[in-house]
Amino acid sequence: METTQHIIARCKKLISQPEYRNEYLIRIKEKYLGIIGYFSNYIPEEIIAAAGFYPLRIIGCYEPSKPSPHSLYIPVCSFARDMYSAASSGGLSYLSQVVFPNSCDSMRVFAQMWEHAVNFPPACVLLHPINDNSNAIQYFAEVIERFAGKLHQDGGNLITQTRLKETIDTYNQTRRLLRRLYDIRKINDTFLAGSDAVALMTAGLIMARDEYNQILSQIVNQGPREIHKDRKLKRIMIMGPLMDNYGFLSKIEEFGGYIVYDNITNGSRYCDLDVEIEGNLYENIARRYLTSGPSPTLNSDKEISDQSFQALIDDLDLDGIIFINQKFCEPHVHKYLAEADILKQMNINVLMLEIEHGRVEVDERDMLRIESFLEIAGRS
Amino acid sequence: MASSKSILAKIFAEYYLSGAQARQEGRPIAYVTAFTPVEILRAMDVVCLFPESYAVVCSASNKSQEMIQASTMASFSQDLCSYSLISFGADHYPRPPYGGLPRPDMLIATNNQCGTTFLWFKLLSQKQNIPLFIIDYPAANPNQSATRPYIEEQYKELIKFVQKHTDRNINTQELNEQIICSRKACDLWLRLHELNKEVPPPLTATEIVDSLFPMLAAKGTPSACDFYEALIEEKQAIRNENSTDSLRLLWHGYPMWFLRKRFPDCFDDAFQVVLNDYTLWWNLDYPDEQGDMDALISAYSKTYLNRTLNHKIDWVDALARDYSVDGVICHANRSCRRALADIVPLRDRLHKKEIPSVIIESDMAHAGCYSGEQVKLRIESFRESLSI
Repeated sequence: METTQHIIARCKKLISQPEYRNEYLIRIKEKYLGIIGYFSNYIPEEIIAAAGFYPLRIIGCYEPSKPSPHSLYIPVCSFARDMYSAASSGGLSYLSQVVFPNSCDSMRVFAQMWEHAVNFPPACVLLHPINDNSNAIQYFAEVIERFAGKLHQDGGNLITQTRLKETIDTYNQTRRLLRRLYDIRKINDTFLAGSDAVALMTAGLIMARDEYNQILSQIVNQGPREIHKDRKLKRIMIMGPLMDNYGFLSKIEEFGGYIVYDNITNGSRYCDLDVEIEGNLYENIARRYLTSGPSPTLNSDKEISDQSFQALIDDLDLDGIIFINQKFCEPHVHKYLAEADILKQMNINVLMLEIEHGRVEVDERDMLRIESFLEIAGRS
Repeated sequence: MASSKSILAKIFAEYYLSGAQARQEGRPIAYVTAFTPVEILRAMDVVCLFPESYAVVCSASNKSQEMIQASTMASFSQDLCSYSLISFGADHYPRPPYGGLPRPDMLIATNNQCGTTFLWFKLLSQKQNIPLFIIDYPAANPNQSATRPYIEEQYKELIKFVQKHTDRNINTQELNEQIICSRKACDLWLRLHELNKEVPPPLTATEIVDSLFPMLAAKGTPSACDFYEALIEEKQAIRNENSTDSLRLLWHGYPMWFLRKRFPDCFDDAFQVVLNDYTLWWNLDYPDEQGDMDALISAYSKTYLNRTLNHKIDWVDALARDYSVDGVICHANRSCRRALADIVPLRDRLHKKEIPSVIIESDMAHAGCYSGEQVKLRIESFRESLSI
């Protein structure tokens, strides 16, 4: 049996070594109708999988951008810029198509520039709503059903109720296992470092789902049941958009931080809710995606308030929160501006770091800020 | 008939007094984004104020840099839209123009122009505890089966939201009249632009840009129509019959509100901007064969910035042809990402059509992002290339 250490090392390779990842995906591709890349938590991967395609969440490439005649000169977020650069230098050629969300202006601009570019894989935009009320669910269910119809046309596989139920069940299994992982890490800080947990979760967005559920199940089942909280470690929650740079997180740990929880795209917001498998499945999928822990691109009633913050802080026994934003990511800057005030009023230590998505190294200034933040972080 | 100048002065004064007056009369005030269906709100007796327009006033009053500095001191990133930075900075500024905007009773934001306005209003709502309503326009084509009922439901929710916070009901007769006036104002606005298809053009680009205000502040009211009718009549009366060989330009994108003439000071009679397509973004299409709600859904879903890239490029391309322009100046406005997406594809299209173009980088409202010498140099060399 593969050891946890070996699994984590493999996950890190998948994330940070593009050549290893590409080889893996090219190998996988033959078993499916094609690989469909997507850029957001609001793209229902169950539908892509049920149609016989391989859903691949596009994450960082972690390779220096090759010179390219095409570049996104627009001040969009560094994630969009990196991905555009990767696509224009052929780094995403294994994709048969991509699906863009309707999430923020960076993504919208990125989608338009992608469609305009020559030799990029074909793209479509899934126009999900930004409101999460009942009308929005109905609207989104229709959008998803139309998307399913498009995939049927593209690949020839009809998405039957049985097939969709099976796929939903597989993805729900991932979500449940990930939630168990969070629960274990909450009570025991010796089990898995936060950077390793993020690597494990991020690799799941790349790996074949059956294989992933198997390794996840193995890790979770080996998890300790006893409580262990080292009071010397500062218990930190990270917040922000997609955070696939586990190396950056390990710096927080080197200075004595324990990343106990997150509110990031490829973390708790990915796995907090299951899709119901009784009733209208398209509506169930729409409801799950719109009511899951909201991204700041959504206008949701579930925004974090002082009460919910307090409950979370108590439950996690938190010492501080680090917002890690990508440069030019407007939704998360606004989220920080709104929530930092609430947290400061509650005497919670907050640090805001703004990073370039593709940069692996942590600069000296950020190192100093992390170090001094962890020195002062603590519950008053 | 009153002169356009006096009607505009009246509209301007009424708008900036409307907040204080509303307070005295107990009428509700809403901050709204530029492409909010104000007809619904005005038919519910709500006074609509536009923070974006106020940011324009602050920028034109040379206050942009100080206000942006004030907002960055309050942790706001300089990368954000300059309208929002100015607006937040104005709250911390000692003597803002016209004393600032009064605190609203509610905030209404839409995403049919950009994603920033919705985030800006959401933050304002969270920081100042003001009720917020967001209208989501997910698609440029409201005829898509699921989109229209989704937007219609949101309009119904908007009415309920306003009722809840103001105890006011919608006056459907008033709504209908508002839409008729909006449609007429848009028709007149288009006619005003079309005067500049003539050689020589009767209006400067500055005159057109400075005539935009009633499209926001008074749309849906007879005074906006009166203003545009008066202006068209005045311009037709003084039309210059002498044809000149001037070079005709299209300015693509936002003007620069902090400049005295709203555009760089390098144009003259022989080299002039005959059309700024930005001002035509306000020319919404209210279909008149449909009911009131459908007309509003259609008009506000099809805003320029909510359309597909291809549609936008086709539209600007057609304008370049219709206004017989010799060249296009594209303003790459740092603040507006949605508008920036058009720039390179548009340049490529113009290149194919052998229409010369130049890109200049600046900002709509942040004077600190403007390098006068650099812009002048670029436009002057563009002029030289056109003259050959």
